[in-house]
Amino acid sequence: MIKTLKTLTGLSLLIGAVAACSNPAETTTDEATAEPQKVLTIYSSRHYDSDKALYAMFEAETGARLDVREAGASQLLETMKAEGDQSPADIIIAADAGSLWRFKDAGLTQALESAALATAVPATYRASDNQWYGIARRIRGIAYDPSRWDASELSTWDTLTQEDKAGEICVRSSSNIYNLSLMGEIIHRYGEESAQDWATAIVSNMARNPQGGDTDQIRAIAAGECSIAIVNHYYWIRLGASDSEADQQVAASTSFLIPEFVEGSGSHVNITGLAVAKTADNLQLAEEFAAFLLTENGQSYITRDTKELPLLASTPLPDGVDRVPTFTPSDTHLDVYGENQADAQRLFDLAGWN
Amino acid sequence: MTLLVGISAKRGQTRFQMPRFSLSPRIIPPSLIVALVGLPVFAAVLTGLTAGDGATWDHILQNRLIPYTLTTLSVLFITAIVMLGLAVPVAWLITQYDFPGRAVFSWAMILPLAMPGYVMAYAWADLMGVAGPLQSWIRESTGLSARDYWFPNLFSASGLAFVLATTLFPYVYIIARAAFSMQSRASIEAARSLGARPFDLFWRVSLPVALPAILGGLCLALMEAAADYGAADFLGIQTLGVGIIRSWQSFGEPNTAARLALMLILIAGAFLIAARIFQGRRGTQQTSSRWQSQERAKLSPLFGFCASAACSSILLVCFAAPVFRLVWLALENSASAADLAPLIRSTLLLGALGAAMAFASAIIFSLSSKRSAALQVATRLIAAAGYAAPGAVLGLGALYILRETGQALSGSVAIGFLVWIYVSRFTSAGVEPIQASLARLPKNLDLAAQSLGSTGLRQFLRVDLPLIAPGAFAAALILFVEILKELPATLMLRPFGWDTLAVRAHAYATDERLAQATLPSLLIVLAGLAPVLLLSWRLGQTERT
Amino acid sequence: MSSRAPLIAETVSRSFSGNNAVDAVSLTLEPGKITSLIGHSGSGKTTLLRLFAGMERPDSGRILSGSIELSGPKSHVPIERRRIGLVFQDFALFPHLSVRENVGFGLKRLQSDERNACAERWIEKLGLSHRIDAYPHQLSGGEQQRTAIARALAPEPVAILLDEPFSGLDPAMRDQVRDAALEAVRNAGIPSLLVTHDAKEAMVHSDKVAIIDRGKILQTGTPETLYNAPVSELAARALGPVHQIKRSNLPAEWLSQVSGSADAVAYRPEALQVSPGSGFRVIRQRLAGAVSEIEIEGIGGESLFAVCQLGSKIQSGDDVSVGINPALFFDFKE
Repeated sequence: MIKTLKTLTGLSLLIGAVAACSNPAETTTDEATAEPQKVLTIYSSRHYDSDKALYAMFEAETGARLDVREAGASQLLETMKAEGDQSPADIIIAADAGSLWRFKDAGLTQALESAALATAVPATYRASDNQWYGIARRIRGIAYDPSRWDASELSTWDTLTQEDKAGEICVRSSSNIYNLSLMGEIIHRYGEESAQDWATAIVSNMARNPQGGDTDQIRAIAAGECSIAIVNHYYWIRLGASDSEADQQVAASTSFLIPEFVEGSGSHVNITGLAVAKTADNLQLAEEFAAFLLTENGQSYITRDTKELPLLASTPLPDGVDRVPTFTPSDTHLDVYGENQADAQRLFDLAGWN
Repeated sequence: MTLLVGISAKRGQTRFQMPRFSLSPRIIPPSLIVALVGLPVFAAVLTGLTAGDGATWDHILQNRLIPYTLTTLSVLFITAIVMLGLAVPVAWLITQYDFPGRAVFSWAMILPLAMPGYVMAYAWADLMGVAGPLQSWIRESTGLSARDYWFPNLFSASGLAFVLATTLFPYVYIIARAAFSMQSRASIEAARSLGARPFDLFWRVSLPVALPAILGGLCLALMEAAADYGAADFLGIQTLGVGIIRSWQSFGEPNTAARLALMLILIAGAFLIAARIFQGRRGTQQTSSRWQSQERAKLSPLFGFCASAACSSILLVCFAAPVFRLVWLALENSASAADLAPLIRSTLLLGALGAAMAFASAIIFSLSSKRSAALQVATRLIAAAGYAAPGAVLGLGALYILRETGQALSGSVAIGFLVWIYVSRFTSAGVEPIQASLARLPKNLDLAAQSLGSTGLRQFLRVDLPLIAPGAFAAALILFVEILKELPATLMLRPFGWDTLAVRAHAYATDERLAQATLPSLLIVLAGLAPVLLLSWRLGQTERT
Repeated sequence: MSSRAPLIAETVSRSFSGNNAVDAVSLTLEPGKITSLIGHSGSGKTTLLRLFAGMERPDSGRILSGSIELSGPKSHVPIERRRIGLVFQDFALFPHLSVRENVGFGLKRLQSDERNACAERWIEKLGLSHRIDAYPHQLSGGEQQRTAIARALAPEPVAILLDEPFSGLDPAMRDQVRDAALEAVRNAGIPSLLVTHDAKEAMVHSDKVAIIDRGKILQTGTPETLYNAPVSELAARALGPVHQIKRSNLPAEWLSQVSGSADAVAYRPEALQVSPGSGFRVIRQRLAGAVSEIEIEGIGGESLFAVCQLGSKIQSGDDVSVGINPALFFDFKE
């Protein structure tokens, strides 16, 4: 008993010591400069070298310093929850709508009312209460072997459940966020039961167990293991833009299309987006940053390496992205992806989609 | 902190011999360390147990728990078989026989330890994948299509086991080599004089005698395999490690993830207890007062060639081929080496800091428990729980604790928590080699030292530390390499501007830019090589004396 | 191979990095007899044992079992095919096997029930039946020793080699274990070699003693021969204390009895027979086990050393008379 007490005392001492010696260390260096520097802290779940260039540009333009923490969206979310009021986070960047919804759902974001942003970002690509804004688009579509299929045979997601696709489909694991988001929209449109049936049919048409990333699925088409792959558009584009000759050949021997749910329903679209953290202390700077990302310059940097589709219509497409066919976006609100994400995983599990 | 307690403990003890199980100040350092190591796991599991239920847990319990567990167990089983199959015969060959290249193989076999499991998975997935060089070559030379021939599937439970075993077998090898080379030469000669051929010697004498030690090493390697997430996720194998991350990421239920982690911890505990029971049942090795350096029998040219070929192919598969492939990819894609310097710096700094703290913790763990078998089992189980828990779950535990402190995860708080998680996660990896050293010391040494008036810190510095130096050195190097490779906790807890090589490699790899991931991955391997070589050299030294 | 054949070393040599550990040694181990090999540490005795056993290959010379060559310039029968039993100083029992399994280890070719019966027979012979299922770490030193001997003898070897088998035992137990153990060895009727540095052990327990020093055999013979007629001072010292005195300092009445012409003569302390009387004075006296050693004032400042029975009551300062046994005076410089 006393032993435990002693242990606890020692422990609290230790934690106290760690806490005590921790506080000021970082800020002191900044205070040394004459004027306190503005700091914008970004919690981002993406990592691109072009993002860094973009941040540097913003720093140069505004004189503010950007602190960036990069980690998975769910880890950033837990970190913010743990930090509570003390969180230094000002801006949250996530590479899918579902994650942004989760930050909002956990009460970690705040609305950003800005007329400029509202005009730049179409209503589908921002939260109805302006808690988050899209900054680039990512399209889940189908890469296929054009010698085997005509685009018309793959025009909707339902065509993948047909018997003639048996043993032809390659797709990655169900826990991938883009599979979950797609499933989220299918649940929204057709209900859980039909969604599970769809997933089950896909599983029975798979050429192999889900494995690897999207790029691996496209390569498998070129290698002949399957003829249809469910992938995001930019992986296919990047293969075409790769330094490696083999990759370029893979891209050349495959085609990419963006299916609808039914004729005229529009297509599934995901976003990279940004939210202002509830703990943000410099709202003006946060807004400046958001607006900066939605300038033509900002947009071209965001999409340069990623090969995403810019959100701002006037921005020229990054190299190679013009190969992506035109499409009509679905009018489903993107909040659906986050709301249905857990159900999507559950139904995938039940369908046996690893 | 613990040092201060150590000194006060000494003061309390100099005059009066305290009764054994009373409130001796001696138990404070170990209790602190136990608390320190155990707290993150405890916080995670406790939160998981109290708050981890709900629809997600029901779903996992009904539909996924058994498949996850069975997959994990079968992966671990195959991993164990492959590791034993690689490490034990090689260690035996290298300690007992002389053949071309033996001296090189003796240390080179440890090299795969520098290779993180996830990097090994990237490299082998690229080599073995349907679009990889091997299969492309098959198709080109035969004209077959990818559906017409059978090829070993790396994206399977056995594939994952292969990847894990190739990176972790050096643990078993190191321990098996030490166990074989320390065996009394006389018992080998006695067995030979009784008509035992090399085959009998291995199966009837050396292996059974070395088995308890080998199982200890196997346990350690399996715990690390169980905690793997990176390789399993990349290969799409539904292990508990993947299930844990899936509950967190897909279902958004970190508490359920923590609850699921308990299953992994239970499996690790079961391994440890099983190994302990097995070890206890066997007689202990007599320490031979008279052993001379082992003289190795020279293999005939044919067998010598076979032995060299076997060792070379193991090295090729477990190290050379994947490294070569990574270099190839890096060159082919002209990966840029820009701004890697700060990554290298933070990797080495965090590695050194983490290794130093985990090392101190392992030392205190081992020394404080050496007098009591019960305490030893308890401390080992706690350390093992940290080792078997995925780094992400420990990170989660750290966040639960962070929440109680009301601090932001930045600056020294972040470093403090990160190092704490390193300690919690890797103490076990340090404890094993140190305890192996301790086990070899004469039992009366403590008493001898105490009779000479040496107690507490003084005894530790003047008697214990020099004696366990070989094991302690190995422990420190292993810890450093482990922390270099660590990913999930570093990813979660590092302060701003402290990206490590592993973090960078992961960032590229998750976005399927493997070509860019190769350079930081190779640098991790490179950074790990120096300590691994030092370790090999040092182990060779201690075994020769 | 006949189990009654002698084990022979024929001018074998073995050197390690230039040092001759064993230098042209010839030694025959007769069946049914215990041959002791005595020497200091580093004298080459263990190397010679290892050459017999096949653990080392001789650089030159041959090892024979009867007429069969075990080691020679061209041939080398490996240790596992020699059927020579070995007993080590640290016993080298297999720690993972029980007494029964240890003793049965070399009986691999037998069926398991036969093997057990055979092992049990040997265990009983060495008085270990009550410990048959114990593991080595549970045994006392003496029990480990006897297990090791049973293990070596059970496969009916053609010879048995014992490498300082008793030096690890505590003295009280040593005599008791040694008698039983060597009894079993002798009864096996095979050549046996007992490597030891204990002169008393060699003299009491063996039929033949060989003295080895710096790789060379100094002398071979029965214990009596070696004690009473050593060929050199080194050989003499190997089996017991020897003292030296200048011939010129010998009392005149002894000179005629001590033959030879060298300046110095050597003698064993037993050569001097001390009795109460006069002519010599005892300077010092001390107890040495069953006897007491006495130092006697001699001529020219050179003391004489003798031993006498405990009951003799001779004290230092006493006057004594001293007679001699000339057979125990040696003149090595003829």
